[in-house]
Amino acid sequence: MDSTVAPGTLNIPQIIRSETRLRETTYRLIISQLFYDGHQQLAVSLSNLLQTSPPCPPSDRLTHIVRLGLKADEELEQAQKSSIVVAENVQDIGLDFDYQSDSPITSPDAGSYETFYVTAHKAPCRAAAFDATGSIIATGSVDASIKILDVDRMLIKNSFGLDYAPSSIEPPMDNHPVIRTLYDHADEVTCLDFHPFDPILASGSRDYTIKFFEYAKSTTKKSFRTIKEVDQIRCLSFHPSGDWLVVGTQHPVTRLYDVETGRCFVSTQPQDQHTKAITCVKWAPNGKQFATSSKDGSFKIWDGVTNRCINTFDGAHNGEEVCSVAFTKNSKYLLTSGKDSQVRLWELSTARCLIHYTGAGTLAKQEHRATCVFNHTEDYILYPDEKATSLCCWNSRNAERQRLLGLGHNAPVKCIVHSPTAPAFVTCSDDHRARFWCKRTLFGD
Amino acid sequence: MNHSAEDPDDLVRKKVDLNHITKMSYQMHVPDSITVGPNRSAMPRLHQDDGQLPVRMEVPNSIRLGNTDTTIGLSNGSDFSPNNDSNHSLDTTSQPPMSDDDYSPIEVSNDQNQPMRLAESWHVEPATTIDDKSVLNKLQLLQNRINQIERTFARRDFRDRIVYTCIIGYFFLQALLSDLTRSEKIQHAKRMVNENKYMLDAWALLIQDAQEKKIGDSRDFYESLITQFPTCGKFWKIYIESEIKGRNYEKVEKLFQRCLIKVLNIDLWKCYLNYVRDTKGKLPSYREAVGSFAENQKITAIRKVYQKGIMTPMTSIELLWKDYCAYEMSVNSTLAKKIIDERSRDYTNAKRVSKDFETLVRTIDRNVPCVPPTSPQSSEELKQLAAWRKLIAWEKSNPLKTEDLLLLTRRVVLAYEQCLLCLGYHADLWYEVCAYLEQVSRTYSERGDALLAKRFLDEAATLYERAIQTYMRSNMLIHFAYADFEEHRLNVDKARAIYNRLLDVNEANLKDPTLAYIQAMRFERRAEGIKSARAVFKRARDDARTNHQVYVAAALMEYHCSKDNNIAFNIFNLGLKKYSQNIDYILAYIDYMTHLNEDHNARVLFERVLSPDNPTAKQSQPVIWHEFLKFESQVGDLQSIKKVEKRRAALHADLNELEGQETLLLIDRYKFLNLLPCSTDELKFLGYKDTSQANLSATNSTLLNNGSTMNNMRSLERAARDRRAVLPRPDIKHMMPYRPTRNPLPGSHSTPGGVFPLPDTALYLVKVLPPSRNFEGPFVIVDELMERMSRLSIPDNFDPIRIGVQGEMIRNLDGSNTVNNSQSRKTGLGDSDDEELSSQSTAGERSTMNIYRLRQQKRVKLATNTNSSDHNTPPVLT
Repeated sequence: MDSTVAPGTLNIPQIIRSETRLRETTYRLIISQLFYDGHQQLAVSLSNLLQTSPPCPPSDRLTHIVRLGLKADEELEQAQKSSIVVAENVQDIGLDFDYQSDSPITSPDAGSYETFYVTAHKAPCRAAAFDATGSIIATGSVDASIKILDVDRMLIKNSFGLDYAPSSIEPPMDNHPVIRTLYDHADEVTCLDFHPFDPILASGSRDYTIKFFEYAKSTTKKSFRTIKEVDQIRCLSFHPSGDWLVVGTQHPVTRLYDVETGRCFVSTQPQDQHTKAITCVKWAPNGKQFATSSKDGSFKIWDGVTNRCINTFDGAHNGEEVCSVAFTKNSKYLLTSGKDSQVRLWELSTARCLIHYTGAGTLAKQEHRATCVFNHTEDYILYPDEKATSLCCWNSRNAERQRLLGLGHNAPVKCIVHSPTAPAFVTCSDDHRARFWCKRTLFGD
Repeated sequence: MNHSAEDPDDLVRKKVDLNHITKMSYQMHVPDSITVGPNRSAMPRLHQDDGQLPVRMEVPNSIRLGNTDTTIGLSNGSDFSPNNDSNHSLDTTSQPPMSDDDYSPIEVSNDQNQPMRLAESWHVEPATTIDDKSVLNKLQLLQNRINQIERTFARRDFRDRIVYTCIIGYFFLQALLSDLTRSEKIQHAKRMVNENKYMLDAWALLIQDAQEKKIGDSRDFYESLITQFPTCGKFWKIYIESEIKGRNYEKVEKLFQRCLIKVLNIDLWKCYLNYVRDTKGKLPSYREAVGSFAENQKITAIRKVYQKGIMTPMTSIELLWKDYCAYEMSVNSTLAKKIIDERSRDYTNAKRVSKDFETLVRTIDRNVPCVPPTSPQSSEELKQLAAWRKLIAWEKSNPLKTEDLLLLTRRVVLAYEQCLLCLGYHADLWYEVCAYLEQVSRTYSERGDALLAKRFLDEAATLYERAIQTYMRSNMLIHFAYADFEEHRLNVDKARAIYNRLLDVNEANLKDPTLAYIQAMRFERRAEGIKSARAVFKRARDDARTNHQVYVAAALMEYHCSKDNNIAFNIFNLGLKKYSQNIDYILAYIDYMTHLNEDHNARVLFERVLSPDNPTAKQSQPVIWHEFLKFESQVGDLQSIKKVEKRRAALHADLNELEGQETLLLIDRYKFLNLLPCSTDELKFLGYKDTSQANLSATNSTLLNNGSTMNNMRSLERAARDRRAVLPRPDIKHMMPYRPTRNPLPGSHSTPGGVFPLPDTALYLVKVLPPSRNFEGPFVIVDELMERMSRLSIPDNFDPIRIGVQGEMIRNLDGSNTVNNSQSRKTGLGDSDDEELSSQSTAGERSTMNIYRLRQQKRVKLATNTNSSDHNTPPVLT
């Protein structure tokens, strides 16, 4: 049986081929078993359908294999049982098709989120980031400013309602959610990322610089370290150790920076690089890989140790620009969005697309980039629809479409980030505003 | 059946009759909504149990199902449009049937971008209950659909039918098996719960299952649930709601009676209020009375509730205040202002406090069921515990600034009680709240309010009682604390009852009641005297679960309290019969003997224990010998010491230990407490190891280790940092250094858009150099310089040469000189002073910086030439 290879899987026909053989053998065994058990008609129709050659003889082999397999499976289960009972926490698995998730989805879908806080920049808001604990948010804008917001304060503020008595005795600044505003860039802030555990924020800008801020210090106004680039920064991502930074710019070469020394490295192979500007870069949570997406319509998986490209998925979104990438927490799957208004989930071990999430962008062709994200449990996928300015939400496992959520922005939403720990996300729009959304369950009302 | 590689396994396991299924599938036809892509293998691990939906997937076309020249004629557009997103689930009945022309056979679909759509799966009950009504309904539905499309297929040839039949059968099987796995899951969860009663995930699954069943079937399960988690409001609520659904109102009321007072959970109470309003609202006794008197009463009552509310810090208190103001205005607008003014102070106070309250309460999850603390503690648990502790500490700090001690106490106790609903397995919290109540009671008794003092003591007693009846059932600490508490209140009988209850406990948890017996004995001695303590000891001896410690405790008690050596001896001897193997017991006995100064008796005991008749394990004998030697070196003469030593050596020889190392035994003779006759290094050299102490410290350290893990949040942070250590990290050996550059010369780096950066040291030099535009000459004649350099001979006794501002050589570098130096330089070139200083500090790299130095000299010369005119010495170039 020959195999024409699907797009995006060109680079590893090896895996596909062995997989194919496995399947083929399985089907042959099934047909043989059917013959053996006397289901002639069924077997014939199946073998016609699959065009098996040479014809399968009747055989009882499958039963034997199944028996052996079941036995081995049971033994394995017995061996693992104790460890599973202690260690297995269903919540921590996230999205993983290797496990049958027994637990019903407990996290809320996007439709039940509400706006808790709105902050306005003086120009379109284009970037946002949550810190690793989900308690601090940073937003960046075309007006070159960065705002740092405290999630707890936003929640409290909201719970007191909008008619918050202005004549109240307490000083209002004391509890203001915006805890810092950083003006250090000279042009649009295009991307933000928090250090994995230290209170450090990295920002990239169109002014050709990457800056690092120690936002925990109340006196911080300026960055404490700057990396000078020669092109507009489009995206950046911290290594999970926080010691490395991978940066994508208008220039197609992916750069890896040592945060401490500011030294820059690239892959030894020039042909590893993209051919157009890099739109998004994300480091896998396990640190073994990172992914970049580009305007050239492809996304690439890079080895985290050698900085070599290990796989390229050309034309991943029907040749359209790939706008964003997002790893699952177990680093097994990658979620991409493209300008074809589709969101796709890729299994990295087999380098293939597992699921399409469709239905967004039906009003009109998408013009600007848009990011797709998982929610904190990876049960849902969120993606802003540009024309409708509403949020599409899919069940990540079966692609079932959930209720739409009207985002209330007056301009396209180019950036959405979800909290890593709680049902909360931030949307950034060209209408100058960033909205903080949260599921109202934290309070007992 | 051609689409699943796994199904046959399942069939075998489930013993589903394949024939039966095939036959069934033959009778069915296809709903037109099912279109099948190339194969099932494209999504082998997709979940089948969450209510199936249209899944669009791209298939890597690795397996073909048919020839390639035709494609399926289905639209592969989106399944949903924004206009009817509620209607996105694929309802076959509502979808217009396709015309014949649109339809083409399934077997030919090979377009790689063709999406695959699964129809919704039919949730069918397990095969064992196949006659269930719901299954029949579903089958009926299926049949309807089949009939509906029968006509469409009427003209199709037979081959297609077979294919579709297979497909239908496959989906039917899927539905069937997904439900089978579901019931399997339930079974699995039940097993898990039986194994470990605190597996919350398994419980959750079972609860979900029970909620779907009828209340009559699941009542037993609910009862077991609430016995397991008696303080979890959520579970009570689920139970009651199912009863309400089943309209068993009598049962509902009984349940409410059981839980409402004990479980102070808001949701549960809300549920109760809703229930009362819904069911009792129409009853005459609950109707509002009419008449002016009743009206007045009503107003007073409502006002009272409002006033209580606005004094209590809580969420959205502003809204309540507004409501209250509006209410007062509506009742009597003239009086309202005065009443509102009176209350506004309380309100502002409450509002101030409720803000803090908000923050504290937000992290708390009140619906967490009680589970015993796990070790190591999960982060969530630590978080909850920390949050509760914070809240309690806050309540104790009297945030309302009230003078009313009663109110304060009530608030603190309420906080504790709420906390204990979720964290009932934390003994420290139980003890803390009781201790707090005791302390409050003391305060009141100091104030002379005996009534309130007693009330709080009673309250503490009730709390203790509740603790030992629920989660602390087998916790000795709380029992002892409670008994002491009652004893303190002179309720001797009650204390005795507590001990008795603890000793009676037949649960597996209290396997070793020895300590409880010992405490009971001590209590009896205090309360009644030694006689009744003996009675307890007798009871302990009869109890098979007790250990040797109870003998030791009893004997020592006799010795210390009744000062009767004989009885103590008797007890020890009695015990020795039973525990002649137990080294700890023997050591305790020996210890007792040696302290009695009865040397002879002690020797007899040693001999008896060490005699060959006594079957003590050889391995445990060295310890006794060690004690014997210690004893002899303390009281015996040298002869007997040596004798004992010799015998001990013989034993070691038996055990093949310490061969030819008599010195080690000698050390034991001379040591006292922790003083040793050799230095520690010598000891190490000799290979000496003190067994007894090593053991002791080992146990200590394990305890300490456990203690440190309790120190919570910090360890989490540490874990995050530890993770960092195991992460794979980029390895620069495999990469190329790169310096992004605008418009680099072609070929300057294999990767376009950059150049190779300078080596680190050179990079540093370039960094510290002043910008090139600052250099205005004079220019060196390079050729000449190079020539000079080539002729240069570097002396062996190399001494770093420094050159001062005016070019003079500075050989001995002392501090003051450096300062002068840099200062004077600063005046010379104000723009690059930072670089100056750093270059000064890196004397080691001096050799690399000759050029820099040269340039500097020239610059300085220039500056001095133009600016001042005092020294015009030319710089010395080396």
